Amino acid sequence: MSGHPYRALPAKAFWRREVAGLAPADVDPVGRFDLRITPETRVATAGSCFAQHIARHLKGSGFHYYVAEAGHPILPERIRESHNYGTFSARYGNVYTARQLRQLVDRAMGRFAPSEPAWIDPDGTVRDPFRPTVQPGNFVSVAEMEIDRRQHLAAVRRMLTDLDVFVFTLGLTEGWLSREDGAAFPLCPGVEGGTFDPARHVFHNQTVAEVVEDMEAVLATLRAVNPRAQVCLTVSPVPLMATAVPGQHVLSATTYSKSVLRVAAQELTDSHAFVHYFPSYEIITGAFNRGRYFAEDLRNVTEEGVGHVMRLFLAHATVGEVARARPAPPAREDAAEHLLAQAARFVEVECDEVALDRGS
Amino acid sequence: MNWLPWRRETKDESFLPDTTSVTTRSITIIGDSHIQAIKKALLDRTNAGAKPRISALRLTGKKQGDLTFDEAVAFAAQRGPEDILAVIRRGNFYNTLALIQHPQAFDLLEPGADAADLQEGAELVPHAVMKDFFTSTIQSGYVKMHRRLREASPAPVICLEVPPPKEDAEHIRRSAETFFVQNNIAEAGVTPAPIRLKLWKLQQSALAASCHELGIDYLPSPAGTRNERGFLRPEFYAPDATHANAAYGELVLRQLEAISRTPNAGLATVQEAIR
Repeated sequence: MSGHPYRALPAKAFWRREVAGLAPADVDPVGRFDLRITPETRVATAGSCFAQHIARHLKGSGFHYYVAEAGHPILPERIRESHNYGTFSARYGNVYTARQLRQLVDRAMGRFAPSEPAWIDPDGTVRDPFRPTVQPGNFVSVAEMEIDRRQHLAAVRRMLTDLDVFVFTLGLTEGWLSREDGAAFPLCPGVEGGTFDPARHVFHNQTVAEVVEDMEAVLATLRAVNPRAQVCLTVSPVPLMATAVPGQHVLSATTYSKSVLRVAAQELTDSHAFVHYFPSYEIITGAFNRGRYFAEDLRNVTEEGVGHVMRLFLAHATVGEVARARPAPPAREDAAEHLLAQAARFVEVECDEVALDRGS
Repeated sequence: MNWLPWRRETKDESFLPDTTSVTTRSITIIGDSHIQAIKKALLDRTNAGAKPRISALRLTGKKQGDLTFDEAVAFAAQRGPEDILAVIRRGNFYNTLALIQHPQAFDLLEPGADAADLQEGAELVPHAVMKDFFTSTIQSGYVKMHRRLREASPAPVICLEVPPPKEDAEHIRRSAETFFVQNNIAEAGVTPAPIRLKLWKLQQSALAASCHELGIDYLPSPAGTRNERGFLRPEFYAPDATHANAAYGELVLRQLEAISRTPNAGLATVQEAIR
């Protein structure tokens, strides 16, 4: 009998042995993954809703979830958390697209200043168009929003310089841009503040090449200010809430969007030794779990699914270090608060994309 | 006659009501440290030969006090619908938070304020964040107590605004209470007055909003007690960092007496009385 390349392959290369033949909880689709973190490694996060889970689990597992914009220490943690300090490593809110991330980095480095003016709500309060839901109750004035934005961008600069590992979850390819200067909005103007104006705002659905180009720009800036930085890319498994592609079905639009992001992530990983891909998308969406990692709405990810992702992430990235990490003791809660917190964790993370579906 | 069975032995008898004036509306004020200004004003009146029909009761703290909060609730239940029950509580929350300059300086911008008003080098805390902090603190602390009093008392309940902050940082540093001395106000310094005033406003507006929800009237500090920038005028300073004196307490007593002379102490009446 002649040999062939498949004979020498490890078990994980075979579907029957490593996917169909295992209990769902035992499936481990992690391929080559060279990233290593210790309890001292400063891990920063950004991205779509799913990145919030990674941040939460890192914090809960005793690893150094690096927050560059933590809010003033005079405020109790519960207040800071409810105002989105610590949701991500800086108070940028959800960063859904590679274009948004690139522009966030450029703005932090002083290379881009979008022309979009502040959004004024009917009650006179003010939103930052580039993080319109980050401040509950909004800002009291344009001046306050601009000062807070300056502080925020300084924190982003600090984060880029000081982080050891940057975990970015690619979420969407669809987005809305300013016709004037191409500024990318996290949400379509008019959904959560602002006013949609077809003469000023335009829809755009990114291609693989565009995502790769945007991310290459981000990586170049990051490594320029922080040569030791490592990057971990994931693709959010959360489907689109809605698609704006004319005539498109949301399911097909989701497949397109996630496919583009997955291919872009692979190209970036293949191009740079400091970029690592972690297959959280595959763990959540893989047929092996028979859909059980999605909640009833078929969008939100269950705590069981997030647990599977984070168990594998920590196992692969923190070899020999998990035991050394000491999870912070849980805050004392009374029984009612504990129950409410448990319910909240199943798993309705703050995801302002939900606003797209409001009232429909 | 010890008509308050829970009455504590105390040298200060100013809380004793005038039991001879049973046909007039009685006024009772309960509170914690800020009630001292009112008690002193009542003592001044008593020493001057008057027999006030107002009682001021200090809730029991670690060292001093006339009655516990549970006793205050029981006392409130004994009021008649024609009486007045006033409350002045926990007014120093904003001071415990920020009388002493925080090592990481902060400031906040009020609606309509100019960015140039911010303390140089201070970290901005968004107004909505600080407002939420004060609102949630008021909700978790004051509201439960106020609700209990409101539900127990047949008499209308009036919440008294605490005195505004003192502008004079040197006075504060020189006269700071033990709590602030122990927390090293001498070295850390005093938070700039405009910031303390903003925090006081947030505290009081959160309290006023909660009172409104509970059907409790909110009585602002007496007219003429604040300077043109909104701070407590020096002639109303008690010899410490945070409290007002008997002269201020006397003006509060006059506010309440003005209210008691009107047939119904509803919100409109209160507002009318203080004009």
